[in-house]
Amino acid sequence: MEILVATLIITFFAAACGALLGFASEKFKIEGNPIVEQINNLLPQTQCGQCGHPGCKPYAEAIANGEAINRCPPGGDAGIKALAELLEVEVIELDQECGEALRPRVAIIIEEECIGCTKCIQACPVDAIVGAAKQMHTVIESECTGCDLCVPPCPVDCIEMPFVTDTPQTWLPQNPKLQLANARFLESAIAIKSIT
Amino acid sequence: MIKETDIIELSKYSIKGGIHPQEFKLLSNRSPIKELPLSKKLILPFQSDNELVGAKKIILGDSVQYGQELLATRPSSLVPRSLSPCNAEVSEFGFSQFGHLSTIPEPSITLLSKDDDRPTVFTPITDWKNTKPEVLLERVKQAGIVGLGGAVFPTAIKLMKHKKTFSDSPIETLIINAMECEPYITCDDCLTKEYADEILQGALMTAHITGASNILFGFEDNKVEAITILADSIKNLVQEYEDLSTPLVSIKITVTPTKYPSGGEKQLIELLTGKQVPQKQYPASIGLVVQNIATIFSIYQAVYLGTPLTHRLVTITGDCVEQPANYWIAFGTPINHIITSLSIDKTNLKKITLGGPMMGPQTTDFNIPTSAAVNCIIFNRESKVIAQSNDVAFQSHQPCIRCSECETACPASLLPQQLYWFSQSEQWLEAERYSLFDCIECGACSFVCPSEIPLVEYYRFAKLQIKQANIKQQKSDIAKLRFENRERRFARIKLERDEKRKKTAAARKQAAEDKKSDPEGKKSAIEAALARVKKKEDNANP
Amino acid sequence: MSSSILSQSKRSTSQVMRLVSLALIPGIIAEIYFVGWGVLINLVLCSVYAISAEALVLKLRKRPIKATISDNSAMLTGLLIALALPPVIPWWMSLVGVWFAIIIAKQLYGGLGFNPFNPAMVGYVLLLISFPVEMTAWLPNREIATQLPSFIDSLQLIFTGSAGGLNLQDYRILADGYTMATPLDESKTAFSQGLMSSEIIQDAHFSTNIHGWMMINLSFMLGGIFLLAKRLIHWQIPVTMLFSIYFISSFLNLIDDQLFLPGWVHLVSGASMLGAFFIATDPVTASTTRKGRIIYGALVGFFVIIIRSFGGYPDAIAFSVLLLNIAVPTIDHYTKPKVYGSTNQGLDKNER
Repeated sequence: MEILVATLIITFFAAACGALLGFASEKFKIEGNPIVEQINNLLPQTQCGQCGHPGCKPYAEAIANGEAINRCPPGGDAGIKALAELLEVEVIELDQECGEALRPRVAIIIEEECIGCTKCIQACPVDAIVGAAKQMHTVIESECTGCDLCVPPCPVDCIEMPFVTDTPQTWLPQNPKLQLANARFLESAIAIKSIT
Repeated sequence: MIKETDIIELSKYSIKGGIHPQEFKLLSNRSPIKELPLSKKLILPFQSDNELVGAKKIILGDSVQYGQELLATRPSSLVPRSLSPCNAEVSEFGFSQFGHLSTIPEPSITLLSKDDDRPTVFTPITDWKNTKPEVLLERVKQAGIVGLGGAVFPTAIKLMKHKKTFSDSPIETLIINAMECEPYITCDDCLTKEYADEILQGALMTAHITGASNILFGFEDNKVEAITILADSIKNLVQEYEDLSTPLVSIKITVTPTKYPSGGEKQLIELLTGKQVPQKQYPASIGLVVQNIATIFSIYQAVYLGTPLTHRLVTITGDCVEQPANYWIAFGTPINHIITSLSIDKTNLKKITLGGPMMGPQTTDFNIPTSAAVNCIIFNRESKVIAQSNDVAFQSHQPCIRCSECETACPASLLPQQLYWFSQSEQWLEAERYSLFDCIECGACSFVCPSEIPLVEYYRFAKLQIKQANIKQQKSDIAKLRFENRERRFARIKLERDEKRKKTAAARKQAAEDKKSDPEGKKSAIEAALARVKKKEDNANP
Repeated sequence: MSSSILSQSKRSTSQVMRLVSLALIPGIIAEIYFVGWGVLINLVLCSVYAISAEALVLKLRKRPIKATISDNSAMLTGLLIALALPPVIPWWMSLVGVWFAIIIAKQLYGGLGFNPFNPAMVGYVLLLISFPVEMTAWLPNREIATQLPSFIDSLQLIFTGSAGGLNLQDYRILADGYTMATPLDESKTAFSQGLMSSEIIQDAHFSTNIHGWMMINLSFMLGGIFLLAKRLIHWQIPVTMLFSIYFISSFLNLIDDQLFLPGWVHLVSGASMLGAFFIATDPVTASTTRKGRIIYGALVGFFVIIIRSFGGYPDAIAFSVLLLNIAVPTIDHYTKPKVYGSTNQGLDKNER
């Protein structure tokens, strides 16, 4: 008898919770999929295509559908970490097949060689190149994301992609605890050297 | 000991935390001020802010005059003017280190000095009391005056009624920072002892510019002589207080107990007024503006004597220096020149400190030039404690035992031990929540740490990472906007093209139909004729 | 180029640990005098165990052994465990306890500074729960003992379990057939027999017993005052913990003195003073904010009394400290100091 009562109580409780959850999921439903927008906001917006998708938004949608978060070289390790935190998944290493997380670059048009064909202007995903047909083209340095998409279309190959120069204002020191590990390594290396 | 008078008052307030390192001030504050012989070579920063509108560019081989602007900047520029410290010839454009921790070389210009003649550059404004503050402010800007307390913030901007810094509250009190709380440094002390009258005039000028009606000098109690001399000056120069456009309500010297870092701007304000500057705001929001006492002197020189800011007083001290003292040194003077001019003993001299021992960076590169930021150079031999545990390659420290000595020492009431844990584990959100950006990087916490952890390096690392991450995020947000705008534009163009195509297709279709029903176009010709007649009639009968 | 630190810190971590170990000396002397040579042997043994455990793990972790051992923290942990243990506990038992404390409760978390729980107390609790009989087998005080084992006897007891034909339990029985226990242990039994606390205190055995323990506790307190004077510990934890112990127990004693001992008895029995000045003040595992320490100390004292009075174990310092170690992150979170500029002190009343 007691077992029956206990079972009924628990069943009732479970049913009540289930009903509450179902009601909440209908009442507080959000239209669309906001996670895609959130993922997109964390991507670097270079629209470079290294991840295999034609832009950052498509990659964000793919991630929302389960694609790996480690396919974005411009985002680097920091980007993977941010995505992992948002989606509450494991932090994994950058997929080397998509490219290396190199230092940021910026495009520069060598003006002596430019023929004013506008092919690079059409290619730039963020409209960072100014110019018109038969007029000089130039890259707005502050808007260039270094995505590299302007280089292939140029028929005279007059676009260079140097690294962005580090200034004291953009300098980032290393985590001091890495220096600690380095010091330990050096000390032990010296100790070994003095023995051998 | 200092006695209270009607001018001198002892501070009623105190700051939390703080430390008492050994002072080492008697080494250099008993000598008179001297002038360092001009260096043959001067290296100055040549960093433009991307615009030289209509300015005459300086090229190799050019001769520049004392006080001449090396790099033209826009009138609204935030970058302080770079002025030549002497008559010289431009010998090189290149890159040089200027004492930044990153050791990244910056664009520089090298001058070969010809002579040390320094004629008046600007017209002296002797009648400053009747001159508009805006004019005086313009002079401060022209003379390239920057804060000489170490942070080299452009003074004209600090004194300007800038919407961002000033809000709606007027400036009531000008606080003049003569605390010089770091060990070894004595330049402000000696400057006050020898130029008290001029400093007083500079203070009145600055009060006139900002509209302040109270002037408060802040001194630590280890500067008895300077305080006494300045107090005499204040008492004797009563006639200076007449005819001021903003009448002076009070002018006082507040003396505080010697403690580091009492001279930090926020700490000084709390010590002198008992008020705290609200987080993320400037002192102007509580009606105060703070200036270093050497800056005040420069303002006097610029306004009254027409002198640009090209030299500053630097304390040359340390146990390699035979006669530590304060010297007037031109900006851009390489350290090597100082070493040879003063015959500084280089045996066992590996590192020098540019600035004070608590906050100044150390370097082994003796080619670095001085600048407005360098108020002291310490030449200590290698064996001294000061050089301990600073070598980047071998920095080793014990783990943190959470003893909280750092919390006791922190003048900003932070939790340095927590900030340390968050910084080294790169938890930026928590670090910001624990007020990481309120840290003034004074180094009091590192000083007391029994495990000798270089705490400030961890905080600097965290702050820079967070700042760069924010900048990166901003950049990517803008790139996203531009990309989305572009996509919208293409979509719009496509839509318009489609519309146009539809229209022309429809028009063609219509024309084909008309042609069908009216093959010779008679119908339209009749309609056109009728329209013309109607028009004529309308014109004839208005 | 490197950033500057004028590093003239007065004491390094190893100096701090060494001074704390020195401050234990008055208490050590008192405990050896009253409880026997076993304490000294245990002190030596546990220090050796602690340092050996730390050296072993450091070797496995490929860390510098000499530099780390010389911070003296392992030795201090060993000393504290030794002082908490009964005097003639078998050698292998103290080995297990100390090794567990150092290897699992300290090094496994990352070493000094990384452990959330007080290693000495973890080791002690492990032993207490695993070997309750041996861990509560205290010898009688010098003043009432029929015979205390000599130094050699103690050595033999620790390493072999018997000395001169007598084993541990034999030493605990007094001439009148009474089996000795600590005052707290005794009082628990007495309460269950229906005695009032005033009667318990006047009992001959108890009063001599408590006298010995009072001396031990006062000696530790002396060491604690040395720590305070030298500013090696912050005053908040010992003061609030002792106040808490005294007031809560006095309050309970007022309510029902047939179940609760008076306040002063709690203060001088068991490991109250050792706990207040040397154990709860362990900086790594205690609360780090000023206000937090006050809450931490008060709560440790609270739990000490609660567990002593209502719990199954006679002494409760270890459990209380470990309980509060869990609470430290929360305490720290809610006791953050007011950062400069965070209050509206700078504004006039009208502007707020």
